[in-house]
Amino acid sequence: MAEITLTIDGKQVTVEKGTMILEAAERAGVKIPALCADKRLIGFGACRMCVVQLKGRKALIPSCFNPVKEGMEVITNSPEIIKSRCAQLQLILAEHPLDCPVCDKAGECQLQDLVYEYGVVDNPYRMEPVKKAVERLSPLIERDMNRCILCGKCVRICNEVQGVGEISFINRGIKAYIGTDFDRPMECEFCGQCISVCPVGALNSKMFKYKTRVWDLKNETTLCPYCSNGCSLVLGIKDNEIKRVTGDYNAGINEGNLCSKGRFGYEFVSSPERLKKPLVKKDGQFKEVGWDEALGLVAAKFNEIKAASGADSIGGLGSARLTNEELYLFQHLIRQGIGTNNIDHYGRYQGVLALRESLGVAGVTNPLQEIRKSNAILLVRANLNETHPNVRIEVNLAVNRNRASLIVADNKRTLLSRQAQGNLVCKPGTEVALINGIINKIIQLELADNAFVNNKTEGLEKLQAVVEKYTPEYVEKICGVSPQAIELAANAYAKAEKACIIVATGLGLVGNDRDIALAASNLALLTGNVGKKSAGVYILPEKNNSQGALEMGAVPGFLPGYKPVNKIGLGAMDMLESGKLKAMYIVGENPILTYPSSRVKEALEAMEFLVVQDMFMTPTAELADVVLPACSFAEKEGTYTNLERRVQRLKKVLPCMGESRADLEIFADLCTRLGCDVSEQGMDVIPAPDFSRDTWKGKFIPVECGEAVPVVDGKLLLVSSPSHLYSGTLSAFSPYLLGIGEACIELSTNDASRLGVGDGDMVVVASKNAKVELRMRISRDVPDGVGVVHTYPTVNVMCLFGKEMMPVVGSVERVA
Amino acid sequence: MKQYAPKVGFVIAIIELIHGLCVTLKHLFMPSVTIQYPTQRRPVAEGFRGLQRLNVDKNGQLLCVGCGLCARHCPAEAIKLTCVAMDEPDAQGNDKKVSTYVIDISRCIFCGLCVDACPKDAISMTGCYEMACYHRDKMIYDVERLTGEPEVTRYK
Ligand code: SF4
Ligand code: SF4
Ligand code: SF4
Ligand code: SF4
Ligand code: SF4
Ligand code: FES
Repeated sequence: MAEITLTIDGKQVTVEKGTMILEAAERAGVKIPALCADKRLIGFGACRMCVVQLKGRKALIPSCFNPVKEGMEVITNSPEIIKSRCAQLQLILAEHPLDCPVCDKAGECQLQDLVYEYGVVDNPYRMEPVKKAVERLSPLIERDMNRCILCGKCVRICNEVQGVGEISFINRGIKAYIGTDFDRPMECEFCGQCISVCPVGALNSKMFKYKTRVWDLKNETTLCPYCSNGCSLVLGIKDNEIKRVTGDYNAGINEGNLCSKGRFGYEFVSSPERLKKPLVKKDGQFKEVGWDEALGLVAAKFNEIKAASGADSIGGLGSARLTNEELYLFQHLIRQGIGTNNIDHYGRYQGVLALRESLGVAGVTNPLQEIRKSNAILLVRANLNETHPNVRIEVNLAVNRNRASLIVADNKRTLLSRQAQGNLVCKPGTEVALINGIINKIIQLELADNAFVNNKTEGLEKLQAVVEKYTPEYVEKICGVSPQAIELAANAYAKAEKACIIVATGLGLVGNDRDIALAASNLALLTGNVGKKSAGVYILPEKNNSQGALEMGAVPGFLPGYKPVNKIGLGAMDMLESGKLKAMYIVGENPILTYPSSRVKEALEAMEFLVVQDMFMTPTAELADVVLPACSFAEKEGTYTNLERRVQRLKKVLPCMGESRADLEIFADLCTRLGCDVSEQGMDVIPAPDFSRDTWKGKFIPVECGEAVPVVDGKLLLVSSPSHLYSGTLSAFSPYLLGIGEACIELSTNDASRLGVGDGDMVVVASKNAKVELRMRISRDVPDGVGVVHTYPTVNVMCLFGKEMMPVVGSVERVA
Repeated sequence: MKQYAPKVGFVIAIIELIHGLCVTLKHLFMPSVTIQYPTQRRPVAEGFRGLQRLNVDKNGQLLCVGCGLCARHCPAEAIKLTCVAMDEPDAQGNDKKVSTYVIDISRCIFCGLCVDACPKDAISMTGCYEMACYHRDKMIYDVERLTGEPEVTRYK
């Protein structure tokens, strides 16, 4: 990119072409006040605080949206400039309530700071402000329009970055304010991004409101414990309690962007329900005991059961929320200490692992922030707003800033569908056929990247043989997607210079992950979209350390670093089948509420000995013989590996609650008690993936897809849709978060009227696996004949789908 | 001459003695300056910095809005306060209520910075200087003690 050199206040600085003067000044170390500029947003020019002058000219130009020019000489603090800024502040203050003493922003309010800095003490423009009512009805966010300075940052971040567009300017001129349509309460994602950018105290978090003053907070940067995006959070701590969470543009990979879980889901850390002491069940009652007694009992029992029924009658179930170090030690404990490969976590990682077969590495092919520079994006079963909110930001940036074409292939229309060029709403479970159809069309249109296919891949013939039959007509029959839509998708994807495919995986998503991932990698290989910038395949793992859990070998089929095992152990769902195991050690998982089976409880009840290590008394922990209290993410050290395989450090910022201990300490203690080596010699080295760019070849692994499950006599095909609250291992203990969602089933208008249920009615949803009572919501996004079941922390809806985790036929009836 | 010397000394001593007795006698008839503390108390000077008082309006509501500036400025970190958000704002449109406000008087150095910091004139210093007590817990002054009349130990 071309570079431009200019001087700002006598300091020379060289920046890229297209940079705004404001940013260039920051790089030169010159501070220009700005109330409406943000690095994530396009210049807007609302506040006129950032005015500067060019040497020898009188005109004042706003620096936030004027790009640099070669040889420019910028002056940022002449008397005229200062005068103009003061006048600007006076105009803002003319209608500002100045209730700083009761304003939560005081102390970090940009207006307050500027008024102080520029010494604005008198105001010729003072007018009596018209008091506007404070909007308090929305969950989590409170809007006090009296304090708003109409900088538009909230509107812009909601639009430009989040792609939600919940709030907007209402009215013009002196009557303008920020609001929703018809002044209804907000019904958005509650990411709180708008709160975070507001330079004044007009948008406030209800959770933080009046809790403390900002200057009393100690800010600590650490990682988000929720999704695999791996955002950095800034925890505001006072009196050993997290009072609020904010983002920091300069810390971490998320540029300060956070979603609702990251920003508002911190309450569980200081929840009064946290377990504080080890518990041992005696005569059906939990008794608090010391650590020594509890761990002694665990070790003794495991040894006893191992001696009586063999090591393979014991199983360990970890969680993708543990740190890498803990996951390593956990599998070490199960494999060396107990001597079995029965170790797993319920991560739905088959999709990620499939990429090892086709592309050689289990994980996404490109860094996250490259998505924004992509030219075409194909989303397959990826409702990113709910599953990976910050990946959605990248997609949104690609579409809106880079004019990328977006193709959404899902079972229903999602929020991202609004911006999509093509919407392929396919029948549940037929995504693979759809991708095969696109591949077929690309071959037919001769859009494949032949040079890449010839040099860098193998197995094209096999793929051709399989996708031959997926003609647009055949695909239309299976998926219900029109041939035109497939052609559009094929053209958009294959003709783009850089195109990527994004597939979400996770506990709340049904479908054949492995096949979808392989089909996606076939498509990417065919068009040469692997191994170059801003292209690639993104199979997104679910939880904050799902990637790490694979790499650390917390799975039955691999040792750390994907080294093969000699005998594959039982997987998570197999372990939880009645009678297979005698004892289990469950860490940080709550199978009863989150696993897709309604018989988990029976299996756990039948266990001779059950150890649960958790922060809370979950329904699973209630069945345990020993409950070990673990620490939260803020109370321990370690590393998480995010979805782009970036290993990031977690910081201990709070003392452990009660007597709870970090999982690592507990595992280490148990390792010693079970006689396995925890010294450096006892551990193995995790090899780096064996990978060379020159010899690398991608493999086409063709996958087939049958027809969607047939639906008869007025039944529906059920699919799940993960809510952004996830399964609820953490969010269930954050009351504020629970307030912004509900467990529900979405039906199309036609189906609802056919079944005679109205919006908001309670219905019984039954499949061959289970029955669940849910609220019914009518949605225009859902196609006829499909029921979309939303997960929610307090109800297990996944049991409808059984351990196959495929779309099932189900009936919906109104509760009598 | 030699034999008069002791006599002169004697006379001078007597004169001085009488002089002294006169002073004593005079003071015997002057009004006394000793204040019979604790049964008697002197008024303190204006601007005296004694125990703080939290001021209330005519309805008995605290003037304090809980901005925390007093706590922020207190060099001895003697002030602690917490606030809560009310569901509905009161008549003045205020929905921030002070839930606890305490001054640890054993830390307070009576500098008066809290009073200077307060934007609402909600805190002022009184003339009360009697805060000695038998128990440290008594040194913690809460809203109730800070708004009421200063507690004074009365002796008969
Ligand atoms: S927004 Fe800033 S200036 Fe306005 S009342 Fe709040 S702290 Fe004061
Ligand atoms: S919370 Fe997020 S989605 Fe909702 S209005 Fe604010 S920025 Fe938009
Ligand atoms: S609410 Fe805040 S961010 Fe939005 S326009 Fe007003 S001052 Fe700007
Ligand atoms: S996107 Fe994921 S990592 Fe980022 S704040 Fe949200 S839940 Fe946390
Ligand atoms: S400074 Fe005044 S208004 Fe603010 S908390 Fe202290 S007493 Fe209350
Ligand atoms: S920052 Fe440039 S006009 Fe507001």
